[in-house]
Formats: sequence, C-alpha cells, structure tokens
Amino acid sequence: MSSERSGPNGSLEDNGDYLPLEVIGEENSLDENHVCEDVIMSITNKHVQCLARFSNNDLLAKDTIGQNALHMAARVGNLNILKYLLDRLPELRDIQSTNGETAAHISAAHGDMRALEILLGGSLKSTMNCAMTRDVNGTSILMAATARGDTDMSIWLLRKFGKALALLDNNCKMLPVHVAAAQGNIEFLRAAIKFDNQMVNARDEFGCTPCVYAVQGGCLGTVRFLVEKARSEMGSVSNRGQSLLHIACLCGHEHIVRWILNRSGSDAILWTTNDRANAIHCAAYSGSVPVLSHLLNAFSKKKRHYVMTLRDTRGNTPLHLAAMNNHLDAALYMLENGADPALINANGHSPQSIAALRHHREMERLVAAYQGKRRKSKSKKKSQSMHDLSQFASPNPNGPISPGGVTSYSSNTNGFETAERRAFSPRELSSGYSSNGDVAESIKSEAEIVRHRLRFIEDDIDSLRDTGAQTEMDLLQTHVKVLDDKTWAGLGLSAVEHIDRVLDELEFEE
Amino acid sequence: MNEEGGYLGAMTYQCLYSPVMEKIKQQHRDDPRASLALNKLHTALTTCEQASPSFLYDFTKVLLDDSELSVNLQESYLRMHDTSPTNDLIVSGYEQNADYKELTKRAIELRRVLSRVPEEMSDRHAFLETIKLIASSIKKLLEAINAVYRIVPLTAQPAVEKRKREFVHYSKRFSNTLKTYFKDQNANQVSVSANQLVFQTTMIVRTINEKLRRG
Repeated sequence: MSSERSGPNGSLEDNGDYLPLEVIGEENSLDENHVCEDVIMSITNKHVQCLARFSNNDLLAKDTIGQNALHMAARVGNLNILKYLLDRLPELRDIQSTNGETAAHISAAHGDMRALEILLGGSLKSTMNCAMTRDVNGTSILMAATARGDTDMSIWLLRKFGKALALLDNNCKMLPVHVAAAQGNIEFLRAAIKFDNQMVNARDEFGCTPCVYAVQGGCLGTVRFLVEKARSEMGSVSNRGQSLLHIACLCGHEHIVRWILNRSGSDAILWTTNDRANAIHCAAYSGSVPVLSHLLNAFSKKKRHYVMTLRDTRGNTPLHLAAMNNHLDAALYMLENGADPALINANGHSPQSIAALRHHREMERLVAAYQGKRRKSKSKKKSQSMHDLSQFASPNPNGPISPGGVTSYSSNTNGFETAERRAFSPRELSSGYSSNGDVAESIKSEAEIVRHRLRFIEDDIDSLRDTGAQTEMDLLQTHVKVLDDKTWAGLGLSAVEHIDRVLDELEFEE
Repeated sequence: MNEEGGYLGAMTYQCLYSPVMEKIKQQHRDDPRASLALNKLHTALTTCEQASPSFLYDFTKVLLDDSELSVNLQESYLRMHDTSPTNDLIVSGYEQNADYKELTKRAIELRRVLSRVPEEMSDRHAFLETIKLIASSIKKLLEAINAVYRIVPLTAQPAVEKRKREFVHYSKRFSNTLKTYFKDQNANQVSVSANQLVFQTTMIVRTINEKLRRG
C-alpha cells in the first residue's frame, strides 16, 4: 500500500513521512485518499498532511516572483503550516523573494503578529539575520510594521532586536522614527529613542529629520515631544534649505506655525530657503490665511508692505505665488495688508498676468480691482478680510465691496473639498514604506495627507479655527509657554548676567 | 593682516584642515604611498601655518570664492569647532598631571559649548540654557587656569597671568555682544565674539605649552 503513494515527481526516494507527531491528530477528518497537487495548493488549503508528502526541494522551490513555501504560508497566515515548515527547513526563514522580502516582511506587512512571533520568536542568534534583512527598497520589517501604524508589533520588534534594527535605514536613508514621526506615533518614538537618542537628528536622503516629518504630518504633539523631550534640533534645514517653519507654512498647519514662532521667535519668518523663499512665500503658495495672519502680525503695518515685496530666486513675491495657485482668500488678505499688485517677477509677469495665463478669472479680477488703488491715510478704517469673510455669500462679479462687507471670493461654497496632493506629502518624499503590493493600498490610504480648502468658521472661542488641521484642537494658550519678544529679551539678559557674575567674582578675588 | 584673519587664521588648520586630513588618513589607512603623501602634506601645511599664520585662511577664502558657495565663515568656523580634534588643547608632556588635565578638559568643554551657539539660537528655550552653560564653563576654566598658575615655573607666571586677562576681556566682550543681540538680533556679531573667545581659550593652552617647553 505505501509503495503506491509517490510524489509528483514519481521518485520513491523522496517519499517519506515528515509529519510531526503533534500534528497528526488534528487531521483525522482528512480523506485518506486526498492528495494536493502541489505545494501551493497544500498551503492555501492549509493541509499540513499533504505538505508532508513533498520533498525539501519542492518546499525550497520558488515561484515566478521568487516566493517559496514559507512566503506563501506567511501570506496565508496559517500558524500550523508555519510551524511545520520552520521545524523541517529552518533556513527558509532567511530566504528572500525577487523583491527582497522574507516571510517576516509579509507577516509584518499584513499585521500578523502571531505569525511574526512564530517566525522570529526563536533565539536571537537564529533570527537576527532575518530581522535585519531589507527588501529591494531597503524596507526592514520594523519599517513595514511602523508604516502600518502597528505599534504593538513595532515595539515587540524593538524590544527583541533593539538598536541594530531601529537604526536600519531604507534606500532613502529613512529610519523607522521618520515614519513614526510622520504618523504622530509618540509611543513608538519614545521606545525607539531609548536605544539611541541621536536618532531624532538622523537625516534622510532629502536632509529631513523626523521632526520635519512630524511637521508635515501636522502632528503638533509629536513635534513638541521631539523638540522638548527628545532634544531634536529645531534649527536644522533640509537639503533645499527648508526649516521647520517653511514646511509648516507649506502644509498650512497653523497651530504648528504658531508654536514654532513662539519657540523660535519672529525673526524665523524671514529666513530663506535655497530658493530665497521665506515663510510668507510658503504660506502664500499653500494659501493658508490663518498662517499668513500669524506671520504678518509679527510686523508693523509699514514693514508688512516691505516683507510682501521680498522676492524668491524667480522674482516672485508672495502675491505671485498666491495667484499662481489661485488662492483667492490669501490674495485678498495680502492685498488688504499692503501687498503691491504691480510688482513684476523675473519672467516679466505681474500677479494679474499670471492669473490670466492660468485662466484663473476670479483671481485676475481680484488683483485688477486693487491694481490702481493707492494706500490712503484712511486705510486704518479698512476692515480686515479675516473678520468679514462670510461663509455663505455668493461671489460678486464686480469685485470687492470696500471697506465693509467684503465677501469670500472662493468659487466653491459647498464646504470642504479635497485638493490635489502636494509635493510635500511625506509619501512623495520617500520611496514608499513597503514594496508589498497587497498592502500598498491600505498603507497609501493611511500615509496620504488629505488636503482641505480652508473655511473660516466664526465661533465664540477660536475664530478662524481650522477644523481640518487635526482631530483634536490643541489650544496652545493653555499648554505652551509663550515667549514673546519682550519676555525673551528679559530672560536673555538674565541669562547673560550669569556670565557677568562669573567675571565679577574674578575681579573681586583680585 | 586684518583682525578677522588674525584669530580665524590662527584656528584655520585645527578647525578646517586637521579634521579633513584625519578623515583622509583613515580612508587610506592601508595605502603606504598615500600615508607618505599625506604626511608630507601635513608637514607642509603646518610649516606654512607657522611661517605665515594667515596663509591658510586666505587660501581657504580663495577656494570658497572659486566654489561660488555662499558661506558665513564666522558661523561655519564656530560650528566646526565642535568636531575639530582636541590635540591642540593638550599640555604636551604633562598629560598625567591633574591640574593640566583639568585645564585641557575645561578648554575642550568651553570650545564645544560655544560651538553650539549658532544652532541653539533658533530655539529660544535651549539658547537660554546654553548661555548658562557657557557661564558655568567659563567659571570652571578660570578656576583651572588659577590652579595651573600656582604650579607653573615662576618664569611662566607673568605670561599665564597676561593670557588670563585677555581671556577675561574677551569673555566680557562676548557677554556684551549677547546683550546687544537680545536687542537687535545681530547673530553674526555673536559668532564673531564667540570665535574670538574660542581663540583665547586656545591661546591659553598654547602659551602654557610654549613656556613649559622653554623652561
């Protein structure tokens, strides 16, 4: 009877009973005459008994994308098959598929904690090599788990494999802490930097630190954790010369802009990138009126006019950038605060001609309405646009009604809408977190930042509150120690007194 | 030779070239010919520095002009002090003496904490703490200088005393520059006076080395 049972290859030599004793009982109901045709079918059907009939070479064989039996078992997630395969062929653990993935990558990408524990739960000596394996994008299993936002798995991996795994970067030199910062995962950050605090200043291929990712992600709590507790450097700039403030302005994160200004002071507003763009250029480019409001409030009325004449390397003023991207509210706000609509950029274009080139009709009309106006001594009576904007007013084709009753020039009065994704999304700055196709969709949905056009909602507590910035509003007044310029100068002089006291003591000794 | 060439020039080899030379030596550790060439270059550069103190500085400025990089030299020198080698702050032949060892330690510490100034200026809270650290560091260095003063040969004491007074003078200048900074936000002046203070720190150790060698 037994001689009649042969494998697909027909060789009697390869036939053997490899079934572990503890597994036999679980398959009592299996039809004695049933035989799965190949390894793949055995795994997808979760038939350990069928799998026992195949040779080691069959288990090691790879499919068209370089995956062997263990990869498939990890994808299916069957614990019994994983145990059986690892007992029989432990070297399967370290074998990589065509795109460089081990079975552990697949389990991590699927968020299968129990499978991962089976794959990597053994001794450190036997599992370290697998844990440190990276796929073709340089993605480690810790990076994959962190990218999924699976904190339990990430911390389990951290505790087991420690500093070596935490410092394993991908092809863009991103560490897992970069990914965690982008997601606002403070719990992971706290666990990771215990191994090496210098991680918080690690730079990826673009010169971005984890704090940059936290700013882009709009996670103020994470930014504050990184700066205030982990001692991340606030003054670092990316390879393009962008500071945290530039990035916060580009993303339109008003609460982070406010925090940075309190922390770094208002002189940071005029710092420039390699393209000589300052924070006001960035805010105008992204069209955020609350951010512009914070930036311009730092200057006197005379100086506001001046700072809005500053140009980047292409000769663009902030108003040019707002016109480029059709940010009507931002343009209106700047015009009312003294922006000069007549300035010409390096290509010979005024904001109005840029709007015309891009067929932004309303923007063209808006700028034209201010073209001939001169600043009058009575301008103090002019209303501020942010206070008079009406959410439900219809657009006025004849231009703004001034000085009172200014209406919003947005063409969309239906509420928030999703704008096109911008270049500063963390996803576009990196190679992506995982090359696993099955999970790419869910990872993408988690990592992508959804942009909303701002609406200014009048309420009793916080006018101009941006409800799209974060789920829970962080009221900075109650949490952040505010250092205004006057207080800052006073505290600074007190600190310098420490030096004077040292020198005075010396003179007394003499 | 202008003032800037004076103190920046004197620090150019240690701050800019020495770290680069060490890095190149490490990279070509296994190449005997490279080691020989690097030693020749090292000898030539140090000889040049001794013969004409601001030559390397002027040479560096020419390189920078040709590279078309826009670099704030004052700030860059200050930042690079953090990673420059510390062999120039060691009292040769007396490394095991407790007082000389303390002097070296305090000088290194002050140089490092001053090099953090450009970075910390962007974070108000951290900058306040750094100023206090600088005060503490200056105090400890002065105490170390006083201890050394008591054990150097009598012939060396006037030179050490003079050097100490210069250090105090530039410490006061640094303090005044900081006070002005909190009024007008001129960061470059702070870098200038910080660099001058680093230079004075280096000069204290250099003077002691010279006196001990002759005595």
